[in-house]
Amino acid sequence: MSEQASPEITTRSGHQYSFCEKCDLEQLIQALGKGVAMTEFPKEEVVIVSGLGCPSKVGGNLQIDFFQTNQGRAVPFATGMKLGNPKLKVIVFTGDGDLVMKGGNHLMHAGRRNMDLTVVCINNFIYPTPGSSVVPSNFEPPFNMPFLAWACGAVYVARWTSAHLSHLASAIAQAVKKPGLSFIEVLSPCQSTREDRQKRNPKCIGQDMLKFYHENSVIKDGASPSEVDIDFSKPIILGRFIERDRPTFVDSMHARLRKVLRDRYIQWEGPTGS
Amino acid sequence: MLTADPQGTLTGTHKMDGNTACAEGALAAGCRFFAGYPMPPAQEIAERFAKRIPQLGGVYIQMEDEMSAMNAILGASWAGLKSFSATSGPGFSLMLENLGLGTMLETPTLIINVQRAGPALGIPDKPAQADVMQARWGSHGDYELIVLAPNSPQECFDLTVQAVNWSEKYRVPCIVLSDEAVGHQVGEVVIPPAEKIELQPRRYYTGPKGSYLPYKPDPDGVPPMTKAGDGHRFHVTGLTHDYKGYPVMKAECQQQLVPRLCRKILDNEETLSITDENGIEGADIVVVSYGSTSLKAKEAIFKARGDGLRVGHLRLVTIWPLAEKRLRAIAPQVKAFVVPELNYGQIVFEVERCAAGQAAVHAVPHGGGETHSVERIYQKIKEAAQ
Repeated sequence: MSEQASPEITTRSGHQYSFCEKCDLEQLIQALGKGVAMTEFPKEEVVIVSGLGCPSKVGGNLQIDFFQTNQGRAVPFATGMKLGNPKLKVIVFTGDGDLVMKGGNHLMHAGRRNMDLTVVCINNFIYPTPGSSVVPSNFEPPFNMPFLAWACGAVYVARWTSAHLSHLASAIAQAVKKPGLSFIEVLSPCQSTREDRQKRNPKCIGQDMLKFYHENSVIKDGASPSEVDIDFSKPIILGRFIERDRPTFVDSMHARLRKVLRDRYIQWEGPTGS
Repeated sequence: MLTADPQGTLTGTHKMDGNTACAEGALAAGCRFFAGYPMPPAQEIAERFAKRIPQLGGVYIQMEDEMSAMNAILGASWAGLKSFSATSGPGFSLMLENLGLGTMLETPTLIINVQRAGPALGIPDKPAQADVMQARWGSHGDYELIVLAPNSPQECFDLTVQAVNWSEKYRVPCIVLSDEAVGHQVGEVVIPPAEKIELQPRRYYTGPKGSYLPYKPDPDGVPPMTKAGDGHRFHVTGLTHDYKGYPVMKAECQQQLVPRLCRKILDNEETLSITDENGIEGADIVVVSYGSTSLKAKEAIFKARGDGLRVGHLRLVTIWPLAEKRLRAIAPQVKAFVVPELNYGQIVFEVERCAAGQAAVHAVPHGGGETHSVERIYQKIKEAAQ
């Protein structure tokens, strides 16, 4: 079987980002690799774009074209890449601080435009704003990310945790195959055994948070994103919330320009040659 | 030899403004991706490209801000396209962090900055030349890039083609530093037949898959590139990295990477630092100018020569890398340099540094908002000659 036909996405032999002992980001590497393999797209066509922070290292451990960019800017970098070569399957895989805090505006517009990207947002509750309710010292309220993504126009919206790896792999596969902006939130708390992090985050010692997710979450496919806010006094709602159809940015662009220019319009298919 | 695509090249003699000529230069040079954000006085560049590209095949997108525009052109470049953006001071300021990413990833791309009066919002449709230092030093860290300053619509075309070619050759973002006066000046632009416009092909890696090292330089200090989707499954990062493109958080790696990023440009000063010289031989005074100010300087020099003064003109066509060797060679042979700029003093300090006390250096600063004053430059030349 030729290398291209093999469905498995292997990890890089030359380099591996390391994670803390007991960090579940390690398992996300496998889930991501499995999700990509399930799409059956040629590995060459898949690209991962990330930013900064621990979640952004996950994609770098897989044997796939990988770009680590400035914090907050993975989505526009991915936009340029996808528009430049429409054949690529571009996955943005990074953390909540990157995507929703610093990069919030870009996520918003990618949703509005319905750019054909898959955005996987690892919410680890370490960065203050987006997931802060877990951190006792932080008073800032969190986002309801699925709600945000849905409001901005995402066509596929889901939430899983790092305790639901096979659901996550399937979701990634569905999201990558779906044209338009797909958004998956993955709750994956920082379970650092590093002392400095434990001091800041006393609830996150050991596997406590992961156990909490496993025991206190409920899967409700089709739930309205407006009702899936995270509040630790009630169960966390997981599932595939939204799957809908909207014209993608490129569909709309082609339709408009073809209408105006008729047969003078040349549709961009991507670069040729190497 | 790679030459321009006749489809994208508007061969002929045209009357067009500098901004339009920049857009046509980008098209002739093979740019097929533009991402930008509206910003006077650069708007005509975006508008021209947006109008032309749907009939050539390519992408135009207005992004939500200049930060995303800069990232989009980097992403498109890594997808295999020649890409560019156009903006002015306020937008260029927003692009800086990600321009730095472009230098670190060694991504060919182009930014056209049509300078306007600042700081902050300033006057959107009036000229200045106050972003000169920013063009080189704006992003954090050590890096070098290439900055060209046209002074006519023809040069807007020619230097845009040159900038795209050099960005490919040296794998570095390049800047065309225009200004509102040049951008909106209407003049004759001769666009040659496509086969006469030589282009620099991207230096792609051609070796076996599995052996590709994204940042292993060729002897000239520039590593061969690849693009996403070619099957090399490479890894690039804005963190300090080794030949393989993996991050290495060690001083040794830093010592290896940063000098190479700088030297690949600085070592090529002779090729890259284009000057336009007139009457330097035997001159007592040399006026150093660039961009729209050079047209005023030329008039002032003509007037001064009419008075019998021996005045030369050194126009910086390339601003960065600076024509240091040239300036250092001229300094001991002249009495003084006169440096008129449409800013409160930027290149004049570089000239002073290069002169190293061997010639006096006279600034002719200007707050901007209109083109420079022939009279003030002329008076300064006379003062310098005494």
